[in-house]
Amino acid sequence: MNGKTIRSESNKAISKLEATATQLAIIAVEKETIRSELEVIAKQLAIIAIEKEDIRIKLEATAKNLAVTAKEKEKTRSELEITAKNLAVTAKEKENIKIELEATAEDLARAKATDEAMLESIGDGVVATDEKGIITLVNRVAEKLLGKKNKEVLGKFFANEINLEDEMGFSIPIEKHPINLALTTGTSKDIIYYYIRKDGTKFPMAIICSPVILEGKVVGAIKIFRDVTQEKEIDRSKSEFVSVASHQLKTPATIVNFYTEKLLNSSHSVITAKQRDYINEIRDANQRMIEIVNTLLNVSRIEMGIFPIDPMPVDVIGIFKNTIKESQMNLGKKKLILKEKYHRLKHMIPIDALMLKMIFSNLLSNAIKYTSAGDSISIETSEKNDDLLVSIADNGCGIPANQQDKIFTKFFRSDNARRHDTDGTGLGLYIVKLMLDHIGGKVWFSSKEKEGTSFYFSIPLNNLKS
Amino acid sequence: MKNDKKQTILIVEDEPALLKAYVEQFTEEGFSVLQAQNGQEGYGKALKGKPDILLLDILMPVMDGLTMMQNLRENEAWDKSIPIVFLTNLSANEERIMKIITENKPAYYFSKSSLTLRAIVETVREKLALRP
Repeated sequence: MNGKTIRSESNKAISKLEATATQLAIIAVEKETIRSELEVIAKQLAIIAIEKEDIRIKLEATAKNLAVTAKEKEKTRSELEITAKNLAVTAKEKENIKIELEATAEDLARAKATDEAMLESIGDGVVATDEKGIITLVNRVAEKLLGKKNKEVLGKFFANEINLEDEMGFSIPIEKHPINLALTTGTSKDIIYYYIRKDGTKFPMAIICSPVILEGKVVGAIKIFRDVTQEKEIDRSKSEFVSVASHQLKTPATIVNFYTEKLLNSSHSVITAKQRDYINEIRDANQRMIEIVNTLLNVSRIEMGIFPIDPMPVDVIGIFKNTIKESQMNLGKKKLILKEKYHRLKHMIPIDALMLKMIFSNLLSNAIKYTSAGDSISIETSEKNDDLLVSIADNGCGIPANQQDKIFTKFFRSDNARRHDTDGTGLGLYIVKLMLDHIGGKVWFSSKEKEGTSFYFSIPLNNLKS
Repeated sequence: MKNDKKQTILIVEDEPALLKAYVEQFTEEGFSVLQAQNGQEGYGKALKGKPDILLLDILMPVMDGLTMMQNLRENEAWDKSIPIVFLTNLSANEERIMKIITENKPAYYFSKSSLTLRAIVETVREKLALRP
C-alpha cells in the first residue's frame, strides 16, 4: 500500500466520517426535536387521558343516575298501573252505585207519588201544617169540604183559613183551635165543631188533630176531618125515636096503672084477698116497667148529651137524707141497720139536684139490694181537697174480683148480683159513672166478695162542669 | 068544693082508655067533665064550655096540647087565669116544653106514669084552690 493512497484513503474516510458525524448530528437534532415533540404529544395525551377519565367518571355517575331514575320510573309506572286498575274498579263500583241510586230514586219518587196519591185520595179531609201553623198540605176532600182551592190556602196561617164555631155559635179562639192545641201541647184532640164556609153557611165537622212528631220534636200538625151532618141527623132522629118510643111504651103502662088502681080502690065490687094480691103483683110489675123505661130514657139522654142539667145551690146533705127517707121502706123490709155520718148539718153546692139524687139513690139502692137481712150500711160524707166525698159502704155480697173491671159497663151485672136480685137492668152504675163524668166528678169502689163493698164518689166543690 | 056550683074540667087526651079513666075518676069525685080527643076539638070545647080548669095531654094528633094552650092564650075571649095542667109522658126535662109551660102561667106539668088517679084529682083541686 502507498502512503499517499493511504492518506487519501484516510482523508476520504475522515471526510466520510465527518459527513456521517454531521449527518448523525442532524439526525440527533432531528431526534431531539422529535423527542421533544413526542414529549409535548405525550403531555397532551396525558391531559387528554385525564379529561377522558373525567368524562368517564361523569358518564359513570350519569349512568348510575339514569339507572335510579329508570327504577323510580318503573315504580311509578307500576303504581300508576295499580291506581289505574283501582280507578277502573272504582269507576265500575260508581257506575253500580249510580244505577242503584237511580233505582232508589225512582222507587222513592214512586213511593212519594203513591203517598201523595194516597193522601190526596183519603176519603176524609186532611190538612197539614208546619210547626208555625203554616198550611203545607190540603187534600182533595179537604178542598171540597173547606170550599177552598189548594193554592188559595197553601202557605197561609191555619187560623185565617179554618174558621170554627162551637155548638152554641161561638167562634173558637186560636188558642183553643185543635191545630194550635196539637202544636203547643203535642197532644191529639178529637172534637166536633162547626166549620164556617166562605159564604157563611156551616156544617158539623168531626176533627181529629194530632201533632207530627219527628225525632221527639213537634214539627207540625195534621188535621183529619169529615162532615158529620148525616150523623147529627141520625142522632136527632134517634133522640126523637127514643122520645116517641118512651111515650108509646109509657101509655099502656099508665093505663094498666090507672085501672089496677081503680080495681083496688073500687067501692062497688068486692074483691077477695087473693085477687087483691094478684092485682098488687100486676101493679108492682107495671111500676117496674115504667122505671125501666125511665132509666133507658135517661141513659140515652145522657149519652146524647141532651140530659138537661140545671145547677142550682142545693143542700146536698138534705138530698141524701131525703133519698134515705124514700128508701126507708126497703131498709125496713130487710131490717138493715143504717149508719149516717155527715161532715156538716147542711152543705150548699151549686149542682143539679135531680142528677145528684139519681147518683146517690142508685148507689144506696144497690147497697140495699145486695146486702142480706140484718146487715148494715154506712153512709159518710167529708170534704177533701176542694171535693165533696161521699162513701156508701155495705157488708153485702161484694163484687167478684174478676168482674170488678166491668162493673161500670152498660148492662153488666156480676154473677152474684144476678143470683141475689134477678130484676136489675145493669144500668145503675153506668148511669152513676156517666153523670159524674159529665160534671167532672169521680166514682170508685173497693170490694171483696162475701165481705162487702164500699162505693165512693167525689164532686168538685169549685168548677163544676155543666 | 069552693062554690056550691060543680067545678067543670075539660080533659083532652087522645088515648081512649086513659080518657075513660080520667073521665070516670073526675065524675066520681064530683066534677062536671068535658072531654076531647085532640087539641083542635079541645080548643073549641074550651071556648064554648068555659071550664074552670084544663087537663091536657101534650102529644096528640091534629093539634098538640101546647099549641092548643097557645091558641087559647092568643084568643081574647079566653080567660088567661084558667089553670092548665099538662099530664103527659114526655119527660118534664125537655127544655122546650118547660120553657113554653113556664111562659104561660098558670100552667103545670106532671108525668102521668108517676101519678095515681087519686093524686091527679088532688093536684087539680090544689091548682083550682090557688086561683084568685
